[in-house]
Amino acid sequence: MLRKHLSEFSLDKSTLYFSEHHLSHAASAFYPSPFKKAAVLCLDGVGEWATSTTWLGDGKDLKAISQINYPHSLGLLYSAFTYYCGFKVNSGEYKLMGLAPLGKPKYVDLIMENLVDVKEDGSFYLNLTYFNYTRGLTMINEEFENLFGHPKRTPESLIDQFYKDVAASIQHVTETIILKMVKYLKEVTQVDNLCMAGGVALNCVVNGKIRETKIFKSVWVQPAAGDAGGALGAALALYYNGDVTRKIEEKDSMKGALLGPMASRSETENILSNENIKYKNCSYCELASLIEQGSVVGFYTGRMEFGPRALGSRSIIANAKIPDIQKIINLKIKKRESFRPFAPIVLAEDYHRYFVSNYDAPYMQFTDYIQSDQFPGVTHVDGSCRVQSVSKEKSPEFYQLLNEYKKLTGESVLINTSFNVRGEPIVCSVKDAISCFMRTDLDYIFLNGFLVDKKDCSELQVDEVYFGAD
Amino acid sequence: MRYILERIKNFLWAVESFLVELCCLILYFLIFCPYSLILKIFKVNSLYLVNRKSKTFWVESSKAKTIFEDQY
Repeated sequence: MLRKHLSEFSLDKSTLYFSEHHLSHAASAFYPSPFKKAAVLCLDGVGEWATSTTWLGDGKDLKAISQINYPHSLGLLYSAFTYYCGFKVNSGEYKLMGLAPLGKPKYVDLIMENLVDVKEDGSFYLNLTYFNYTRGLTMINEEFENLFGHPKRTPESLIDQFYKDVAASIQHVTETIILKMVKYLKEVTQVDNLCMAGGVALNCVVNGKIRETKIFKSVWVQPAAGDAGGALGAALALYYNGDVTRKIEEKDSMKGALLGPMASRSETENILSNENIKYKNCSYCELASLIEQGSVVGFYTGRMEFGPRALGSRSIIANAKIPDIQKIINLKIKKRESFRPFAPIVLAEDYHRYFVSNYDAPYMQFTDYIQSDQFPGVTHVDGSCRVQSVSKEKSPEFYQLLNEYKKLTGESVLINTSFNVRGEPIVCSVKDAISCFMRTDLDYIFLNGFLVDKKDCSELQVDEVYFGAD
Repeated sequence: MRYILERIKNFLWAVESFLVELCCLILYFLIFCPYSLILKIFKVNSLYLVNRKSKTFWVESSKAKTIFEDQY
């Protein structure tokens, strides 16, 4: 099949190379990192047979150290609990992570005694009596439900305290296992830096705790830590398999993860004119003023982000100081569960002013604790938040907006959430953005320097801007 | 003599019938018995308990393929 499609590009005679799943993850974590030498930890559901792998990267060499094989998988263990708590497997794991701070880890002992055997070096073995993913189409079986004494939660039903406690417990178990693995990896490699990838590395709470422990001096997580990053890793692994020298950038070589498609200003203007949408030029100063007054704005600039996070190119922005802003955006715009908080963005130079630690966090891969109670919209019940630090080099447009906002208000923290509605991917094209804008209660949309006011679009029907022909 | 041979023949018939019945029963059991019950009967899950004695579950990756192989 590959040969057939490659023939369309006259590449059918080319040599095909195959990169193993975890090698791709490891390469995606190590090669773009700012480290010459680093330990690499890859954790996911499963790839070929490996579920957890450890590596040592040195220069352009990446050497496999050890692995744990299917069916013993930390990713699948977390997914089993995601399923049990009524969320979708492979996409709802982050909701389980968001639910965890609302509960107490009451079931840690039950999990450790019955479901998973964890050794001191972080390696583990699952008790398959309770899981069904090896032989069926569900993650867990009746024995699992009997163990906890409650049935699987029905999706969309009210989340009672029991499931919040279960979420807190599995989050705690995951943190325990990973921290043990990290200690083991430090002992084995004796290096100062750690790189991480794999779907489990998207658990920013665990990542934050790894950094807090200071087992490794520096930690770098691939922004597209899930399988999307595997494509990048496969390409990098092949590239560095050749006779090339590895260039190491001071921060990292991910270019702010802004690797996706873009629309120029003239293309944007053409689309707006063709669709008879009223628009005007808008400066970052004007935009900052609208946000300060409480408007919720769709922000669309430059290249799209690569990976699961909206890092300022396809974002919804709002004032983090408004008390009900979380409720407004969750229920009116994003149409998602009300318990989930939003992520704050902060000017990189002001990071220490608002947060407990003083790290660089350009890819929203770590949680930190906020020092002020003035930003309810971005603070979880335990005071944690998934912060993104914005620098001029990595996100120039986002930086300008925050800078203008700071000049206006003295604060440099805003809400940033992905530009999409529940069940849909993040908008990619200008047309996607306008379509999403029309179907939500967003007040304004900022498109590559042009501003559209929702009040001017009241006569337009959603179908008119949904561009079915495209 | 003929009587004895007849008895042996009858005995062999009985053994054959019994074996056929037994095979049918096993086949029936394998087809219709819940998978989890088979696992319980053959103690497949006891692997979890056996492995509790292990010191580590990490497997050395040195033998794992990490170099590229042309698939064609």
